[in-house]
Parts: sequence; structure tokens; C-alpha cells
Amino acid sequence: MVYSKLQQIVKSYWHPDKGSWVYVAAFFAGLFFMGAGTFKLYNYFILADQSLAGHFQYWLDSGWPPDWYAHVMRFFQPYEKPVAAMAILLQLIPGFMIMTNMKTRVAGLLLFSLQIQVFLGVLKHTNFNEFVGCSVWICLFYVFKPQTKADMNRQMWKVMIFLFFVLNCILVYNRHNYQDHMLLSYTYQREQLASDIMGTSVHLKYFVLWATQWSWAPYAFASMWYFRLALTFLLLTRWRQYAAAALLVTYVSNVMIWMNGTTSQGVLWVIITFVFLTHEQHVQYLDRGKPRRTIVQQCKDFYRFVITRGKEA
Amino acid sequence: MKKWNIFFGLATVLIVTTEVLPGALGLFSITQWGGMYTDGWCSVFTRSNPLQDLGRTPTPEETDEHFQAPTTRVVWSAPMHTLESCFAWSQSWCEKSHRDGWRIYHSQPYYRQSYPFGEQNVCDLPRLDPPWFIQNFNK
Repeated sequence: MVYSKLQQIVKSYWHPDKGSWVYVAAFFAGLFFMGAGTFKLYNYFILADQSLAGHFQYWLDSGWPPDWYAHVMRFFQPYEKPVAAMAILLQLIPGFMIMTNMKTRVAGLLLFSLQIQVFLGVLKHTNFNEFVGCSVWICLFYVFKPQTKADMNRQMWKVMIFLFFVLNCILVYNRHNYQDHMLLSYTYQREQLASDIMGTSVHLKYFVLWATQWSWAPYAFASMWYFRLALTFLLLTRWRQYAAAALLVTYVSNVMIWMNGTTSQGVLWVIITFVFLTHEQHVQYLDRGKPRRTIVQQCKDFYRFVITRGKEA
Repeated sequence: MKKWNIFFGLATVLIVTTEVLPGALGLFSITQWGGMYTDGWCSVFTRSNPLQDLGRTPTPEETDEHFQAPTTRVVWSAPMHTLESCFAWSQSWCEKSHRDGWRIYHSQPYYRQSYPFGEQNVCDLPRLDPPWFIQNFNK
């Protein structure tokens, strides 16, 4: 009796047509930005041993922002506390709004106004392009997704798919710079795992160290990069949901094993892929009656979409 | 649809247990959800004998060295530390051979510009089992 009642309640709220998983992903995305805001609040105001002006200076000294934006950053440096407070509010409030599905388009726009500035501040650093790019993508997703439906304009979704593909390309490029694709990376990666890395559980770490002691382990390490590269290109095909699902597994595994090494960047990759995948799966569910197109047709459509600036696809 | 429900359900459980609430579930907890700028917060001061008086200048027979985490080549980002992981990292150096051949008998963590354990030698404190960090792994 209670079980059937419970089943009825779940069914009335949990239906594929409503895109329930898209809202679960929104909960995580909002929570992430709230976490980022809370962390800044703790560092800049409660413990107050970190300084936003100092972080700005580090970016400036590293030559990461474009010249015109460097002037903007220098202008705001003396107003450190108000700017820090504004940054915290612009993550906490929209984060809460996205988490609770409240005016999500407004929330996305507010978050975008902050994240795009961080993106400009670290523009010339490809690791940050990838990391901050993910947060900008999430903001844009909530700007373009209607609040009451999980659905989104199909042409806009195509643009978002392409941007997600670009972000994954940057990740693959960055991992190439860390020599993930070469067998020699195995030694130093395993050494750092043992000496400096802590994952979700100490037993998981010991299991990974045990499982990677065999002669095939370097090949397994290096093959992950090629696997990720292949999955990235599959994102442009109709199998993208399976590619994204496999990517999600790799990102979750990364965080579980390399938790303090992947930092919040690793978490953001999990979040963005979960947001992407739940929405893509929902779109495919809604479009399940439509005929499937070949890769060539999809490429042609995309080309037509670009040259007609979105008017035709 | 059912297979996707199962997949998303499993992913949700994994995200919650391993990333949102790992501490609450008895797993390793770190301020990594939304955290950044935390690299460079943990370092350790080591010495070749278990001295109590750290202010004293080491004799020619004694050697000391300051290690900044991480000491290995970075694979993803520079690993970040909480106070507890910094303590564990500091302890992982106890009785290890330094690259110059001397052994470490005194280790003192330095976290966020302070000594959280005062002048306490963490090598004298109970060890975590199994240890979280293993130094000199490839040697």
C-alpha cells in the first residue's frame, strides 16, 4: 500500500518527458557554484589569509589577461573587499537559484557576468581556458535553457554541443602537454599518485597502485589519452550520448583516484558532463521519432548552420 | 530509457558519496568541491634528528630541509591539502631517506602560514594505517 503510493508519487514527479535528470544535474551545478562562493567567503573574509588583489596580481604577473583587461583588473585592485564580496554574491545567489530551479535564466546571466571576467583574467593559460571555460559553458546552458521545461532550442543546443566538443579538445590538448599520450608518463604519474595524491579512499589508492604494477600498466595509462581523444570526436556524431557517458565515467574515476590533484577542475568536468549528458539524453528522448542522420549529413547541416548564422540547419 | 535511469542513478550516487559528502560517509574529505588556490598551503620542515629545540642552529652533523608539497612532478594540478592531509603528508616523511643519504627523524608541518602543531614532532605521534602518502616510492 505504502510502496504503491510511493511509486505513484515518484511517477507523477519523475517522468522522462519532464527531464527529471536535467534538474538533478542543475542541483549539482548550483551546488558547485555555491561551494565556490562559500570557499571564497571563508578565504577572503572569515579566515582572511587570502587576498583577491593578490590573486589578481598573480594573474597579471603571469601575463594571462589581454592588455585591455589587465587595465580593468588593475583599476579594481584597490577595491579588493567590495569586489571579493560581489564575486561571492555572484556565485552564491545564482548558485542557489540554479540549484532550486528558480529563475535559472537570470541566474545563468548573473553567473556569466562573473565567470566571463575570470575567463578574461586567465585568457592566455590553456589550463584555465579549459577549467573556466567549463563554468562559462554551464552559465550559457542555463541562459539558453527555458526554466520551466528541460527542453532547449535545437539550434542553440547544437552550438552548445560544439562548445562542449571544443572544451574537450582543449582538455585533450592540455593532457597532451602533460605527456599523457606517452608511455614514459606512467613512471612519474604513478610516483605522484603514491607520494602526493589522495583520492576518495585510501584503499582505492592502494588498489590502483597494486593494479598498475604489471607490465601492461604503462600501455593502459597511455591508452586512456587516445581513448579520450576518440570519445571527444564521437561527441560530434549521433553517438554522442554514449561518448559523453564514457567520458563521464573517466571524469568520475579521475576525481575518485586523483581527488586532491584534479581539484575543483576535476569536479567541474564531472558536473559539465553530467549536465550535458542528461540534457542530450532528454533531447534524444524527445526526438526519438525523428529519422536519424548520417555523420556526413550532420556535418553538412552544421556547415549550413554556421554559414547562415543559425537561420538554417 | 531504463538503462539511462540506472546509469544516471549510479552517477548521482557516486557524485554524492565521493564528491559532495565524502567526509560524512567516512571517506577521505577535502575542501575540493568548488575549492581553488589551495596549492602551496602545505609544506614540511624536516631534520635529521629528533630535536625538541627547533630554534637551535643545527650542528654540522645535523641536516634540515624544507619540502614544499608536492615534491613530485605535477600530473593534473598541484595537489591541494587540508590540515589533516598535510599532517599525513608530513608524517609520510618520517624515517625516510633523504636524497642526500640522511634519514628524517623530525617532521613539522607548516600549513597556511602557521605551524598547526606547534613544535610537536609529528613522527612521535601515532601513525595512520595504512599511510595516505608513500615517499621514495620508486626508489
